[in-house]
Amino acid sequence: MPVQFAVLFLAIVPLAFLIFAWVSIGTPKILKRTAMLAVIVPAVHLLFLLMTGSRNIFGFFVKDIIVCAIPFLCVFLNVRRFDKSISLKRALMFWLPD
Amino acid sequence: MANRYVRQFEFTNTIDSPAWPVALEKGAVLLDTKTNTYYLQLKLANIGAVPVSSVKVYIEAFDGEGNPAYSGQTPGIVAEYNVLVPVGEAFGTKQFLPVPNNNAVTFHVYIEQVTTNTGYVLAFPREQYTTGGTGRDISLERENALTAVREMQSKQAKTYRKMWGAKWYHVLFAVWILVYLIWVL
Repeated sequence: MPVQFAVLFLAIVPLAFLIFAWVSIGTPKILKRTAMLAVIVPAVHLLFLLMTGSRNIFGFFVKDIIVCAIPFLCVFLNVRRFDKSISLKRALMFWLPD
Repeated sequence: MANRYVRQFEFTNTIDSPAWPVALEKGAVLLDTKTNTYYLQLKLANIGAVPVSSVKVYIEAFDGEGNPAYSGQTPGIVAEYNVLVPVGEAFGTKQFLPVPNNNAVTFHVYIEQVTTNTGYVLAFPREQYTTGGTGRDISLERENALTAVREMQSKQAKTYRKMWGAKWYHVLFAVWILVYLIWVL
């Protein structure tokens, strides 16, 4: 049961953020929400894996970063085509106001 | 009410400046049949690139012999229009300027100061103006300004859609959710 819960938890967090970002297509919130996906999901997973004492923490974390960063990078690069003033660092700081 | 003001004659500006973002499209002298007084009615047009919030106008009127038409005209009639006018819109027709008689046949309408909606103040010294009338079609220029601003808005809307609402975003998220589910399950 704890294993099933862990898998469910690990799957639900990114799925929730993916859907959260998906529903904001058409507004500038999409960049902010994909940045949340790219930052929060690996962080939450890392915390969870450290707490549960998982063995393959590094591999999972790297995979997580790659998977979560791709939607963000796609959106970011597309936005940057039209607005050169947006930087990657600023785009990742989703907590800052627009 | 509609019959109260009788149009005596219409006029256009006899001076011109290409730098104006606001210009006189046409003017009219009206007679108030109730009080038997005359009024000037100006139809101004925003032919610039940005909305304006305030316009100061200075008017000089001359009779057929080129003399000032209104006694005590110096300085001329000053009028201020404080209304937000989008690009390509006409304004000023609701504001009547009282004048003492109907002797004027030509008018010099100086646009002295224009304030944009962002608070930027543009001043136009009277020395810049050329007399004689250039036959500019202000209504056409107004339509052109309106067309230009609509084209710009349409272009901006298209860019916004491409930036934030590209259709391939949906494909990206659908595929990515699928990828993630396959990876996890």
